[in-house]
Amino acid sequence: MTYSVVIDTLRVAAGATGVSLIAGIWLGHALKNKKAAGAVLSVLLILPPTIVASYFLFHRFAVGAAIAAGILSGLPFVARAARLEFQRLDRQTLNAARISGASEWRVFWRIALPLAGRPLAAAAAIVFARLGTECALTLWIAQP
Amino acid sequence: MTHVRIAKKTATGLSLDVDFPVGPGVTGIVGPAGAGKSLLLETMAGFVTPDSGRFLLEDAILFDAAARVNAPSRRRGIGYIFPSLALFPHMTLERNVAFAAHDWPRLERHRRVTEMLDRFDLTAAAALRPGEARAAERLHCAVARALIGEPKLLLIDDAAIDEPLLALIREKFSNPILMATADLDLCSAAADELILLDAGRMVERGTARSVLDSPESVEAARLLGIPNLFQATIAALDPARKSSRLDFGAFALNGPHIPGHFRGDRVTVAVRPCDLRVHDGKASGENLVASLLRRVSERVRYVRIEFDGGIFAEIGRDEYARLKDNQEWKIEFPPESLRVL
Repeated sequence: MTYSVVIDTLRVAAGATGVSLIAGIWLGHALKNKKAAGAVLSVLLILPPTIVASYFLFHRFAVGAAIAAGILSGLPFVARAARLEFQRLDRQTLNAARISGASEWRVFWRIALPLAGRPLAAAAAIVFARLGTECALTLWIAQP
Repeated sequence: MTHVRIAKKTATGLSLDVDFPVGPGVTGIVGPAGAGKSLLLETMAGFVTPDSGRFLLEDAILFDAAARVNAPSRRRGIGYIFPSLALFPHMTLERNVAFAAHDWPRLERHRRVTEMLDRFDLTAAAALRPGEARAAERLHCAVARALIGEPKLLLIDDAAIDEPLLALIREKFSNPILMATADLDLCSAAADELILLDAGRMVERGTARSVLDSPESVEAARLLGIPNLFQATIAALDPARKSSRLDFGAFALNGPHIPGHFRGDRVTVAVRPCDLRVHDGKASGENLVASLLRRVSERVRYVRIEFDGGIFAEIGRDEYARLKDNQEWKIEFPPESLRVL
């Protein structure tokens, strides 16, 4: 039973963190110039725990559903961190890449992402730890 | 033909409005902070979209507001050296240079990168990241990165380029260079043309020598840092002797011939501080004005002396050491040094 809790926790935390990281980076990059996006992402940070808790009150535990709930919880956090990091990047450095002949994709992949990499890795680690803790606790308590 | 006609209003209230052909060689763009030098280069590079106008580079339309043409920066064929150099901090100097050679086949890219590293003395520092390299190596790397793609135009935005490096660039690069700078000495030494920019508009444009030696307006003289600007009335004109007499109120001077003006006209006269000669109070001769010394400012290579009446003179340090105990001073205005604006 303990073994299955650990496995389920790792599957949920890793799956949800992976998807949150990829989708969050994309979302953060897409929203980096949108003024209202910061407030929307902050509100989304508060909502998911309520929704997730409501869901598990009425449904049995399933790994897929738990991962989806984890994504709902982790995505706004990563997206918000990514947005702030992409906003903080030096405009001249990005323009230097553009004038050097790089496409927007290459600017993102070779310049923006490596420069914002460490804070994004930190955000992913926090999401993983938080989801892992929440999931493990929930599964321990839910055990008969 | 390379021609820039661009208008752009910014949120900070700066209104850029320029229209000029880009000639071969180096064109210096000089102006105070906030004059729009960087904005002009950024619009040419495609980082900022102008409100209106047209930009032709070697007859290719890169921007045309009316035809809704706006080529992306990566397709403009322009090299750009940023004031901060904007090197990629996570890459080595070699990779920084190679980044701009991405479109070449692998072997050709390798050859070009090696050649650039060699030309700009970066071979030893090639494996260093910008944070580990010396300032001169970072500057050379930024230049090499800007030139490796063989741009049709090089834009230098207030980077700390000096005369030897500019000469090195010109050895390799024969296309036009636009250089925004506050360094008039560099413009004098290396620029073929000069554009004076103030509050987003061109105050004067011409060959570097003519703009620096003979500014056409008070505004241009101020931008060139000429502090001796005096209001005068033309008291006499002698076209036969090609001379004039200028009345400054407190004193009168013999000046050069002033075509296009009449006796009684009010004019502004500019005199470079370095063109004035300073004597002790006993000196006699033409165009000498007695004045009181107000302030002395010692510079690296000369001494700037401020006299009563807002007269500034610059003399050598040795000459100042000889004259510094003077009780009375006389300033000589050589007639050929008076420039009527």
